[in-house]
Amino acid sequence: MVWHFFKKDVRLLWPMPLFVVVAAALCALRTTLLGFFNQPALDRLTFFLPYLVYLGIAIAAITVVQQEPLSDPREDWLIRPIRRRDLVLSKVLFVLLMVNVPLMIVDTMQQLALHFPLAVSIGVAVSRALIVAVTFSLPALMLGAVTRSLVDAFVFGIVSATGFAFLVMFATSTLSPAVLGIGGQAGMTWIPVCVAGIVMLIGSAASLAFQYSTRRTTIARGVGLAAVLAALCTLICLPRTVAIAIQEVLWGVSNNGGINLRFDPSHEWAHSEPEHAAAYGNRLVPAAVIAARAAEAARIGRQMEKIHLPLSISGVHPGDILFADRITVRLVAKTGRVLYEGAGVCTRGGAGVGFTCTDNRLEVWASSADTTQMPVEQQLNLPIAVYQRIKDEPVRVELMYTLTRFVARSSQRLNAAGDMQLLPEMGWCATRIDDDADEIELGCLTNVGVPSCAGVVLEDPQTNKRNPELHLCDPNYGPFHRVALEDAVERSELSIPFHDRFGLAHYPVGSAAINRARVDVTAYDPVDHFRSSIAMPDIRLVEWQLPGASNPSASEP
Amino acid sequence: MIIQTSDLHKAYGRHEALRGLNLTVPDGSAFALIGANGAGKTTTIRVLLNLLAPSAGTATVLGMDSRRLSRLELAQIGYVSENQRMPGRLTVSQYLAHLRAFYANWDSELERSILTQLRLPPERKIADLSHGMRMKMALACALPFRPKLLVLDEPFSGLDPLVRDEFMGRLLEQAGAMTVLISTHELADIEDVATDVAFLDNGTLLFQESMSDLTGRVRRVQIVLSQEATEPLQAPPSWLEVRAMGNVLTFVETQFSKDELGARIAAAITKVRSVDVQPMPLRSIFTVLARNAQLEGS
Repeated sequence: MVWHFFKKDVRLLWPMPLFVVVAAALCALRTTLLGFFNQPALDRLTFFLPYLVYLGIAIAAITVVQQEPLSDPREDWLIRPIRRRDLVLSKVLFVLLMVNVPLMIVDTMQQLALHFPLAVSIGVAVSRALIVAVTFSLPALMLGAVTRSLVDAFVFGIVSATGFAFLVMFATSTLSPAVLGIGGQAGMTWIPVCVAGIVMLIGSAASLAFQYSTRRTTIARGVGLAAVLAALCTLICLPRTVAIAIQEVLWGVSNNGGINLRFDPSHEWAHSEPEHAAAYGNRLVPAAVIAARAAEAARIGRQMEKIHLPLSISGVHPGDILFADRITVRLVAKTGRVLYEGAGVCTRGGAGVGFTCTDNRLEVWASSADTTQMPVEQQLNLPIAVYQRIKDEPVRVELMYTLTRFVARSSQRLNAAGDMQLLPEMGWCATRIDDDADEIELGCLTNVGVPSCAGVVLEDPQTNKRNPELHLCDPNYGPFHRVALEDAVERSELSIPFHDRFGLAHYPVGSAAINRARVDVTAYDPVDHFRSSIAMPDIRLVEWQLPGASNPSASEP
Repeated sequence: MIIQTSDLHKAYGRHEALRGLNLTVPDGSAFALIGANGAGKTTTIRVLLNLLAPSAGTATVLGMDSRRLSRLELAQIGYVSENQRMPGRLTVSQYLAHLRAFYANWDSELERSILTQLRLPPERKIADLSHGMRMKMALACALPFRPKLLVLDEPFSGLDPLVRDEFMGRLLEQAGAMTVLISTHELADIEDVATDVAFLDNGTLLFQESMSDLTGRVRRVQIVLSQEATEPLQAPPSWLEVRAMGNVLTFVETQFSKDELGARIAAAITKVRSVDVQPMPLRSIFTVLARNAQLEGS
């Protein structure tokens, strides 16, 4: 009977999957046409295509279920000798075979057209199809099963989404981020994503099964809404400590990985923050947005105080990266009372809703050959109120680190002034000199996501001179590659400066050498997770601010 | 009994549509479920077919609890309802072909003959059929597998006399050994067909009996007196709609017995000149009983 229903639905609804496939093909074409470098006009014209694909999936899934609606007792099929299990299976089969599998084929074709390897292309397409099926198709089927019509489904969906939005706004405006578990997830983002996906899968399947077996629509709707809410909560609020614990179980955590951190007040201020690159991705940001972001950053900055502690690190191998996934600070008074404990500062949004969390960070790139005692500066973010209260009293500072070590996996080179190559870690990458002739633009089309960390440097092979290395770290410790929901192929961009029009900066590899210069791209892999801690007895926080870096509000009476 | 309900309740929020319904439908009967609008007929049928869950009580259909009707039982039940929703995108022939796969004993020859007799256009989409055509379509979908139980919920509603005749004609041809449960307002159409009748009022069963018993026990009585008629002060409770006009007294006797009528009249009325007793059509019986039920209810 499963095939009987499937064939009937295909005969009636084939234009819907066709629409989805055409929209997906147009999406793929869009990515190909946009190429390595951003084309704002084309981007603006075609930005809606990915949304069209998802709208098409939702309409197809809801409509196929509502061919035999469940919540209306007037439906003829209800008094026919039909096994409900066969019916629901036929609907799931329709969505998988007529929507998700064709999308998978489009994804594979797109990647093959861009000359990505077949096995990887299929793997990426299957991963993406699974994720879309679990997070979108199945919930859409559930939505169709608990509503009477497409309009009803969309109204219900919009009302529920609005309800969830208000719930999130209410929760974030009344509860503290500690209660909500909000905070950065570093490379563990895949854990809440996976758990949320599993919750969504189980909840949607339970709601579908319940509705098909009992036709108790109100309860089925409740189960569905609870599943979506639980998935959202998991995605947003899964405590970082839980994510780290899961990650540690999966990795097996060593004690200190041979790496030793110690407080070293003897050395000078040593700015060890890496030279971060502009960004992966899109530079198409309006000036007003940039200004708003700057204002928001300034507002957030006024709500915390930064303490800079000099540390020495030993045991890091040359070329490695040491990345702190979490740095918990505990400030203890002489009496033993814990004055503060946190891993960063979460600031409520400007409108009193939502949070922006600024985690304590440590990212050490062991670029030099001598790494026996590397001086680094640990910046700690403290809530301004805590700082004001205890800045002058001697406190014991305890730092608990959850660290990850990255090692260089491979290094590839491209000609800076214009080249195109398939780099195993980055996908297809191309370079060109920008219109102002002061930067090299590096654009990559990748199907497996960018590596967790990458170092990019401009070098002159003739003189062996190198510009300062640009560092990018956006770790992913998941067992699978990040999958973009828009498309199987993702574009990332990076600007590498080699000339300063104002003459303030001088680059070893400048305009004169740019035509023979090469871009050296090094990808890094996470290899080791471990914990480490330091204790600093009896220090006064006020003494460990950068000179002249005091927050203006901090000095107010 | 092919259908049996016991203390069946169904509530929609605060409104109780069924209040302790006890109904038995004999095997092989043509059972008419009658009652005013909102009496609970459609709700009863929907609960019997597990389209709705009862709030309390039980119903058994074909010997199975209605909540547990399996494919085995459903394969023996035909259902036609005035507001039945069939897939509008399919054509008549496509839908019949779709249904054919669910019934092991689907008779394609019978299906063709029904289509021909009801003059259903095979290639027309169900959504494009008129109301009458859709009712005929529903009947055409309910008969070819020769159901043991045929449930008709207001099948004549909105049908013109011609379509109604075609519908009934086909139904009677097919009736044979099957049990028919029919809920309707169109009492004239079922008068010659129904073997049993149940009268539902406000979610409760007022009575249930065979058609012959009902028509036999309810009679319109007209008495001509030798003086001006007045409504008797001590009329028996079985007399309904007692009216006096000139020297004529009329009423409906709901417990008619040839032997006892004379005595009852003599006890209540004097100076009787003549008595005329007439059988009543089902429609009139229903009207009288419904009106009386409403009066008692208020």
